[in-house]
Amino acid sequence: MKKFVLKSILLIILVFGPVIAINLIVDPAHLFNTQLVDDAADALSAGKIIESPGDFDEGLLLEKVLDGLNEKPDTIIVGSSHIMYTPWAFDDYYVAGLSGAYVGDYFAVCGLLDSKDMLPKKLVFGIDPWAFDSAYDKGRHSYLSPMASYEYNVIHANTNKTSKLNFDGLKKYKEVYSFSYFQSSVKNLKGRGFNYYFGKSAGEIRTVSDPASSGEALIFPNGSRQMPASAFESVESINNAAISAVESGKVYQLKPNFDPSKSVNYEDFLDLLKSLMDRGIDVEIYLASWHPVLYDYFDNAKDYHGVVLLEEALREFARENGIVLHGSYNPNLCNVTAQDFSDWLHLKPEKMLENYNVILDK
Amino acid sequence: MDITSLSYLLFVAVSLLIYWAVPHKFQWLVLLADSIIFYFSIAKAYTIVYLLISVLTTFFAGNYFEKEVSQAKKKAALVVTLVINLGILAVLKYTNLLLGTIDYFSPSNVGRVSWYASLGISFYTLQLIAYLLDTYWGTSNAEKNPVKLFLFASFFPQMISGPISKYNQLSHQLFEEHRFDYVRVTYGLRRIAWGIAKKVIVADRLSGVVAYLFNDPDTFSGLWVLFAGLCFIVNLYFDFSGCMDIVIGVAKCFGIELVENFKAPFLVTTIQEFWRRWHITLGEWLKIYVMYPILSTKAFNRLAKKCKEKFGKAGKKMPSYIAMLIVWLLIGLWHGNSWKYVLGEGLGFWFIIFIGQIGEPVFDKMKAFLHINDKSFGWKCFQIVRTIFLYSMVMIFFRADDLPSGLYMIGKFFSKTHIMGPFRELFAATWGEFGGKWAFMAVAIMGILHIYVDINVASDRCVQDKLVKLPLVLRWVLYLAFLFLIIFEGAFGKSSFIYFGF
Repeated sequence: MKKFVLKSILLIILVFGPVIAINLIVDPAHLFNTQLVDDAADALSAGKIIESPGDFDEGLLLEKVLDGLNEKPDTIIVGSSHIMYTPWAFDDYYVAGLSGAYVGDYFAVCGLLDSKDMLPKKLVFGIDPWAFDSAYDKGRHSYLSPMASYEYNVIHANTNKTSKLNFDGLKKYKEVYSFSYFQSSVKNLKGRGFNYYFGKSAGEIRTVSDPASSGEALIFPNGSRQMPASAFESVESINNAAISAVESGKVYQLKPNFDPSKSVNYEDFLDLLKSLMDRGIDVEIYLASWHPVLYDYFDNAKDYHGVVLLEEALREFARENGIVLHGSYNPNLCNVTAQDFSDWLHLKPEKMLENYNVILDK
Repeated sequence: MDITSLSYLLFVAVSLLIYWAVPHKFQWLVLLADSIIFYFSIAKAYTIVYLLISVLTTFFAGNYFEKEVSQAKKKAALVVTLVINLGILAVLKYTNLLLGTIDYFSPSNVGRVSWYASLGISFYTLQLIAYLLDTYWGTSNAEKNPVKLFLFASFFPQMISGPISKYNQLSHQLFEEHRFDYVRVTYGLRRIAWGIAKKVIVADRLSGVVAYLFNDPDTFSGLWVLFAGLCFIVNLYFDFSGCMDIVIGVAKCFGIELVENFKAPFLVTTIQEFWRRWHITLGEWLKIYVMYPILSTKAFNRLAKKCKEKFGKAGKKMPSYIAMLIVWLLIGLWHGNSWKYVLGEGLGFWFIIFIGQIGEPVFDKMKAFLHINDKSFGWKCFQIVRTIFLYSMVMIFFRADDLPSGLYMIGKFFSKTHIMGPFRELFAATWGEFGGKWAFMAVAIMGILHIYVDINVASDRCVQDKLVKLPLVLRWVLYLAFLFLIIFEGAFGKSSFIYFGF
């Protein structure tokens, strides 16, 4: 038994030692070393434009930037990358975008704003159909997920807010020994080289004075993002990617057979909107148009017809509650063509704004 | 709790420490507690009621058989218990098949139910029925403690995907003393690592390619259909046998030897032999508890006599073909609530075996005419390739969305094959998700290792025995290289095991 225990310990050290060491040093999502995110938040709070620091915890940056804001903006836009890259035309606004946001992430952002008394006058929700594939407490951005539970409790239990604040900071430590995190670490290490992580310039935040001439992905002080034009794909490549998504039956993280009338997650989301309106907040909705090939597929394929049903349901909800609904999943209704996309999922910035300005139900 | 996850391995490790630490008489209670924790960590809590009903009815029937003298009363008790157990399985698993069929023939929008079955219902129901029939036939003693029978049905390593154990084979192991045994535990751990590697390096990487191929039979037509079938059976084999390696390895650490479910099936020369080496315990169960009892019924004996009178020697086998058909349809039905399993998989395999058997004299004549030496290596290779080809084609139904999709794919096999266009598309769409060249290398390494292991398994040789004879340093280098192969190239958290769905 003693021999077995000693050998087991040795094996565990030999296997997990390098895994833990590489995960802590490379830390591709900056979970353990938050210095880079701190520096990014400081720069943004100081009104500087920065180059996007690669992989980082978007939830953490959002929290830190909100902490650094002197006063709350009039408008906050919540959603996925579909709202992050939009060149908004508001005067005083903040973009609280989280990549691939689920309902849980909408709850989490609202919970975060609520807990910091930062809920603005107007909240615009960019809603993607995949958002309802996951429950309110299962957001894509795990760092913020306790905030989702917090907001859910605020809405449903009407309890004392502070007593329900339970931020589970321990969750991220699972990643220390995670093999998939290790694979990301190795990928980053290979991509950026040894010197990047062990040299003097490791993890520096680079500020940008002229965003128009920058060839990098940028983050602005108001949270909005900009992709360099060089990252835009050709129309042919975008069309092929859209066709490929249709043929493989895998459309990003969208799951098949969604039906809003049977979705608890959708019901929870409507409860969130109603609760915000009850609290005097002006709520608006934005639906980003899909690539024509994909929308045609949604319109005809039984498995993904839920996208069309979702828009119908959201329009009905918006009409009943006097909510302004911008855009449409249907590109034909917004004069969107295949040429208007920067990749198979995202519209080019100027088209996004045009898309946002389409209000069909007036 | 995914059985390839670190949390499951930690659960097993802690359970083992407690298991070895407690006095012998409490060891089975540790297994029971583990099984209950495992059950509640995965399944809806209330579904345990179905399991409890099955265990209790089987328990009372088994003990009743021992006390009751009247054969008629025993038979009645047997029928009632079978109806209850099979009824629970049928209602929970096949209601949607029935509703879907009604909808298909008379579109009435009857809807579907979304009931949760208890964890591993297809596996434990068969185990309990085997126990029930064994006690009825008097080939096994009835268990006197219902809690022990519950552990037999819910033993956590094997509960969700088998192997389907017989009471006589498993029960004494569950309740006897097991002390720490270095050789046995290290054997079990190596087996677990091998199973995890099969799942995360090969099965999960191939599943994306399989999905892509099956989704577009119009592009991937002709020989691509065969390629899709081949990819799927390799995917399924590494998935299911990998799961079995983990299950058997975990049980071995607890000192419990479970029966093997695979024995190098890809090295055999006929479909019958293939199925004797693939999901062995399901085949054995159906042979003992369905096929033999059917063949020994009065009706089948009368049929055998009539067939012999009418068709002579050739008619003698007719009843066994019918019994075989029933067994194959049941295999299909057991796999799931879709006609693709019953009519595609079940009927397909039966048809191949049936044609093989009734056509045997013709095939022998053809072999003689073509001067084929059926002992030659070349002929054996041809037979192996033919078996894999037939198996791949029938298993297309297993993977297809439904029966019409399966039939459509089979139809597409007979259309023209375009090589480069579909290849370029497949490569562009799946290479990234597959993991690129290093993942491909890892899959190739696993493939070579697996062929070596299977050749040894087919000859009843244990590769682990050879491994432990290597010098210590070399052995540890190999262990670490293998573990880092898993860590670097495993696709973690991608999908559950395919057989968990059954």
